[in-house]
Formats: sequence, C-alpha cells, structure tokens
Amino acid sequence: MNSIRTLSAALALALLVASPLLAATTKTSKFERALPLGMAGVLTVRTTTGSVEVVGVDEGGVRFTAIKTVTAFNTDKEKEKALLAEADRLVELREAVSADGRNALIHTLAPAMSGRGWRVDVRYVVWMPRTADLRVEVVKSQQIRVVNMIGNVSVKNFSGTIVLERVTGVANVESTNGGIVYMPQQRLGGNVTLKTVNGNIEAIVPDGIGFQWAAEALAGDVRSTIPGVRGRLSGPAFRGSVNAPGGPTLTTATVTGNVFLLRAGTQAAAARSLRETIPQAPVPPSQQQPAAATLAASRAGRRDMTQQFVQGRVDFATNIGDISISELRGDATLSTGAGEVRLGTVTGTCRVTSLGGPLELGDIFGLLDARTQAGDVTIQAARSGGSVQTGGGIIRLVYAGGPTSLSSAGGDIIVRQAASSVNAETRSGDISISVDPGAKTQRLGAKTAKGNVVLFLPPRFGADVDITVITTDANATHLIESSFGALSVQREQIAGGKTRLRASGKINGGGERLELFAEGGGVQIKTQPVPGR
Amino acid sequence: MADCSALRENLPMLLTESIDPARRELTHEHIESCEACTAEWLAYKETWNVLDELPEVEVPARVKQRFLAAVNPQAVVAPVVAPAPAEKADNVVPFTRKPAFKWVAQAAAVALLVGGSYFAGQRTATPEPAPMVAQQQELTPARINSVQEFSPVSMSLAETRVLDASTLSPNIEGRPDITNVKFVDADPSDDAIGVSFDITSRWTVKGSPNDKSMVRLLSYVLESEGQSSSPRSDAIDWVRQTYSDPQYSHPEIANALAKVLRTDDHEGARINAVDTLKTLPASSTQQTREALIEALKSDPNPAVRMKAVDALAKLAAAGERLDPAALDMLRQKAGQADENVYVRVKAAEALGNIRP
Repeated sequence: MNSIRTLSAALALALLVASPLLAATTKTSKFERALPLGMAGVLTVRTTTGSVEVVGVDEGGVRFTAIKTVTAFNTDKEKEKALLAEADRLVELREAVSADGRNALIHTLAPAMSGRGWRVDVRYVVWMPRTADLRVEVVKSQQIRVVNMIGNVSVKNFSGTIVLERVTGVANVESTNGGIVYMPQQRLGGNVTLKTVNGNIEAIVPDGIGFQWAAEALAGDVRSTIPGVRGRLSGPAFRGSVNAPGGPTLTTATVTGNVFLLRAGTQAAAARSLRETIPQAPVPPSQQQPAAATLAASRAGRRDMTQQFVQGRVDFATNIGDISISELRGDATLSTGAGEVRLGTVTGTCRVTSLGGPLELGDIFGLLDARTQAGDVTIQAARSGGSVQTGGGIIRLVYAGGPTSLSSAGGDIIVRQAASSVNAETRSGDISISVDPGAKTQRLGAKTAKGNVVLFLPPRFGADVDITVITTDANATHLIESSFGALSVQREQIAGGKTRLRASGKINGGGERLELFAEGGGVQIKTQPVPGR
Repeated sequence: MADCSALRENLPMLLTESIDPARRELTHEHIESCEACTAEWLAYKETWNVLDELPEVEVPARVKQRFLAAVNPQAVVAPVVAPAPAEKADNVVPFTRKPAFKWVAQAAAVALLVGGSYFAGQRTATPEPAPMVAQQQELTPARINSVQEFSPVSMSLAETRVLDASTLSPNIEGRPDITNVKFVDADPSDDAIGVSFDITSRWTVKGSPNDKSMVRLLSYVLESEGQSSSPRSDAIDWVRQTYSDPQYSHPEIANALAKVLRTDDHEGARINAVDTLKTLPASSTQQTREALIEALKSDPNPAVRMKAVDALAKLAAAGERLDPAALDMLRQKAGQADENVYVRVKAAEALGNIRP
C-alpha cells in the first residue's frame, strides 16, 4: 500500500514538473475552395502531413475544405505565441489549375518541421469528378481515403493507412510504413497494384468476382478466406487466379507485413495461409534448404530461435529469422532464408545454411558444413575441419583442427591457426593463413583471383612450394617474397599483356605441397615470430 | 689500372660467392699481385662483416627493383616468353631475399661512404614544418627502434627516418607511390600512433591520431592503390581500431573509407571499408551517405550491400535524417524481387525505424 502511495506521489510530482513542457498553443483555420476540372482531368493532392479524403462525384469541378491546425510548444508563452504565428505564416495551402483546365493541384507548402517547436496538421476533404484521374502524395498521413472513383487512382505515402473504397479503375498504391485496405465492392475494372514495405494489405472483394492475383509477403504470410484461389507458391510469392482465370490483375506485396485477400463479409482472423492450401512450386537449387528442415520452413513469417542449452540433435529451419544456440550437445542442422546464425559450442556435426546473413560459430567439435549466400562467416574452432562457403563476405577461422576448405565469392579469408590442411579460395580478397606453430608440414592451398596471399609458417616448416602470381606489371620484382630461401622464380608473358611469375622449390628440405596463387596482388611467406623473443 | 677497374667489378660477386670458378681464380690472382686491390678487397670484406652485424630491415621494393635492374637488366626488366628448358638457367632469378638485401646493402654502403659526410652535416639540422613528401629528405633521420626523433645518430641501413606528424604540413604534394605500409604502436600506453612506409627510403611518421598530418597521411594510405604487396584490409583494420574511439573521430577518415567503398575493385577491401564506416563515430558525412547508397544500389558483392544497408539502418536508428535518395534506395531494395532476402528485410527494418 505504501509503495502505491509513493508511486502515485511520484507520478503526480512528475506531471506537475512536466506540465509546462506539455502545454501547447493551437490555432485552427478552415478553408473552402473550388477549382474547375473536367470529367477527364487530373487532380493532384500533395501534402506533407495530415489526412486526405477524396470522394468521387458525378459532376465536373473540384471542391475542397481544408482544416489547418498548427500547434506550438514552448515553456515561454510569448515565444510560443511567436512560434505559432511563424507556423501559421510558413504553412500555406495553395491550389492551381492549368490553363487548359485539365490539371488541378491542391498543395500544402510547409518547411521541414523537425526542431522548429511547432507542428502542423492539415485535413483535406475533396470532391472531384469520379471519372477523372487522381494522384495523392502525403508524407506522413493519419489516413488517406479515396471513395467512389472509376478514373485512375495513384496514392503514395510514407506512413499512415490508405483506404480505397469503391475504387474500381486502375489503382496504384505505394506505402512505406503504412497499411493498405482495398474494397472495390464490384468487379475490378483495371489492374490494381498495392505495395507496402512494413504494413499489412487487406483486399476485400465481393463474392464470386474473378481476377488474376499476384501476392508476396517476404517476411509475413499470404492468407485468404476465398476458396476459389488457385495457383502456385514459389517461396513467399504466389501467382494464380481467384474464382476464374483471366481478367485484371491484383498485385499485393509487402516485405514485413501480411497480405489478406478476404471475401466480403469475412474476417482476417478466419483467413488461411496459402502455404496450407496451395502446392509449392519446385525451389531453384540455389534456394533449396536441407531436406530435414523443409517441414519447419513451411511455416510462414519471421521465426527466430534462441536457446541457451540443447541436449541432443537439433533440426530447425525458418524462412526469415535469427538462430542462436549457446551450447548444443549433439548434431545440428540449421537453416534460415534470411537471418543471422550464432552458435556457441556444438559437440556433434554442424550443418548451417543461410540464404543471406552472417554466420557466427563457436567451438565446433564435429564436421562443419557452413554456407551462406551472403555474409561474413566467423568460426572460433573447426576441430574436425569441414567446409565453409559464402557467396560474398569475409571468412575468419581462428582454429582449424581438421582438413578445412574455405571459399568466398568475394571477401578476405583469414585463418589464425591451421593445425591441419587448409584450402582457401576467394574471387576477390586477401588470404592470410597462420600455420600452427607445432606443425612440421601440412598441405596448404590459397588462391585469390584479386588480392594477396600471406602465409605465416613455423621456422622449421617443410614444404614443396609452388607459387604463381599473375600481374600486369611486367617489371614487378617484389610480388613474391619469402623468408625461406631456396626458391627459384620464373617469369613469362601470358595473354592479355600479363606476366606470370612462378616460384618453386623446397623449404626446410621439402614436405607437403604448398600451392599459392594470387592475381592482382602478391604472395608473401613469412616465418612466425618465435614466442618469448 | 685498366685491369684493376675491370677486376674490381668482380669483388661484390666474389664476396657473395656468386662468381664462376674461372673468374674467381683470376680475381684472386689479381688481388694477390696488386696492393691497391688487396686494400680494396679487405675494405669490402670489413664492410661486409659490419653489415652482417646490423639488424635486418625490409628493402624498399622499388630500391630493390632498381638495383636488380641495374645489376642484371635482362633478368629483371625483360620478360621471358615461354622459356625453353635449355634456357632456363639464364632465365631464373635466384629467389633468396637475403643476398638481394646484401647486394643492396653493399651498394648502399658504398654510397654511404661517399655521401656520409653530406648526410652527417644535414642530420644536425632542426627540421622545419615541410610538405610531407617533397622535403622530407632534408629532415633528420633516427633509428626506428628508438623513436627518439631528430637525435643525431650514426647513419646505417637499419634505420628508418622518423618524423613527428606535428612537424609536417598536411599537404601531400603530387601522388607519391608509397609502399610496404606498416602500422606501429610502439607504446600502447600513450596515444601516439605511427605509420611506416617506403618511398625513397623507409619513413615512419609518428603522432597523435588527431593530428591533421596523420589524418591526411592515413587517408592517403587508404585511398592509395599502390599497396599491392601488402594486404589492403590491414590498413582499414588498423584505421578501425584507432578511429572507432570517439575522441579520434574524423570526417576525413570516413570520407577516405567512402572512397575505398566507391572505387576499390578489391572486394575484401570494400567489405572492410563499409564495415569500418559502421563503427566510426563521425561516419555520417554527405560523402559517406552517398557511398553507402551507391554501394547498396549497385555493388556486385552481396556482403557489401548487406553492410551498406546495415550502416544506413544504424544511421536511421540513431535519428539521422536520411535524404530522399536514401529513402528511395531503401524502398527500392526492400521491394526488389531479385535482391538477397536478407538485404530486403534489413532495408525494410531500416525504413520501419524512420519517423518522417
């Protein structure tokens, strides 16, 4: 009871202190204007903030009302008044009509409001010919509503909901963070495109109308209450028809939101995922996930996995999501369509696949197979070796305890301690490999099509060395450097005006093969510094 | 005396035992019969022994190249086209670093004998702020290990000329070809850093990371494309370690990284550059934003695009106002069907953090 009292007192005090800061002065102005516009004209409504409602009517000309509300904030009432006057002066409502009467513009002129100590809100209600074309552009809207139009409609905003009601002509709607609701209430009269990045899309159509439907919800789901949806799903994208093939196309796409196609009178909650009702098209090999993981991946939307400790085998896959396991005593088969994978210790074999995202792997005791189509791969230890691939990114391997193959389609490869054979290849990037100080000889390969190869070997490391460097500098002499003697260099001109330098020989009496290739860079073989010196 | 001058040319090869037996015999016979050449030979051997005592340093690549070219132009300059096995012996350059160094050392030792008095006179002069490259030869050299600048020490090949960044003009004249760049932090307890490089000889510029000349030099190193003999990413990694500390943040470093991101055809370097830009406190300049947008738009490497979108997302999350071009690019990437899904999702997440 005491704590409640204390809390209430603190709250009251906080409100008392904050009240001057919360105070604001507001001024509201109302405008009513009319513009000439033909039945086939084009009206553009452009504003930075507020709401827009456009109603199509069966008569020529445009009428609109606008309510401008400016609000100023300052603890000093005099300053606040001055700010209010400034806001009222700077925010102007303009309208214009082209000389031929075919184009009309309603426009809010306002400077950037951030940090000025005031804000403005303009609410437009516009009546226009329903057969004319309409363009609406609002940066930050509470709502944009367009009703009863058969002309072409184009709406664009950054945030705020967009509602199209009884709009049956061609429509093109784009939002960044806003949701879109489309309710034609009769058959579609033209192609309709509804796209948003971070919002949901709801299309509510009358029962029985037919049209083509293309839908994508990259990190979300595509759902419908219409039984007559037919087509193919390819990953997150659907393409097919509703009720009957042919007719105009409804395109709906969102990245992080969901798409709902609803029969009029049904609710979104009743909609079923197309993943449950539509067969999946064959997935291209480049996007295939491990078979063991396919079932889990069939679930839509973002799905992360975070585990501190797992005993036993783990098979997990997600279309979009991060995977994090601190300790896994068993084998792992993990897959994500896009996301980060972080693993601590894995005692068994470890198979990780990502179609995009970095892999951060800890101490892997079993055989490692790690692949990402894009992103860096960092591994603390591959104790049994394995294979690591990235379609672009840096590979950093601290310890290679078994034969290891590393491949990047573009990016550096760094191995800090190679206690077993290592083969590293990159299309463009430097390769740096430090061999385990205790190693006497082991097979090493490094190939970069653009970059340098640097190898750090123990002083007594024995190897049969074969180095190739391709350069455009015909006079280059410093591209192959070795702290070990007894290598001979051969030089020859090759196609494309390039020069090939080849150095070969045995170091410390010879041993396993050491094959190094660099183009557009050089090769250095250095002795490791002796600890303690 | 004509015989003497001809045979004295054999002395360096005799010293390094790289002379054929017949000439070796002939040269030895001459030395034994000629007092002047005996003295010369003994001087050579003494110099040689002294050189063996000196610590070994990396020979500047260009110096090595010039020297080898002078010694054996055919071996170095003229490329050999598909050598036949019988010709192989003539076309093979012995690949041992040390003898090459010694040859250079010998030549330099001779040069030192001749020019020593001149340098000795110059070394005692106090350096004045000067254009970094054009006048640096006139500044005082010092041993690399001592890092005690401008103290008069005996000249040797084992030294690098150490300059204090604060004594240098930040203007780099022309586009000098600096190679073999190494970064030095001799004393981690102080805030001084050092950059060592070859130009006409070995130089180390030491100073505070904030020093304008140091910033200019590092920017130049980052932008320079002439570092093919050392990993490109080393410089960027080093810049990241030093300049991610907010007290050293500098927009010029960020701009240099932006240039690497835009123009370097080495994908590893571009990945490192964009990665580093994310960590630098003063990374948000017009140039860096444009470079990030450009990278996101068209870099062929998906890792670069991923990191570019991450960097833009970080700016957006920090409340940075992104211009319309950045917003358009993020929107375009979020909706681009053939873009990597991770890039699309990250672009969408970045947009979700933006409040217009």
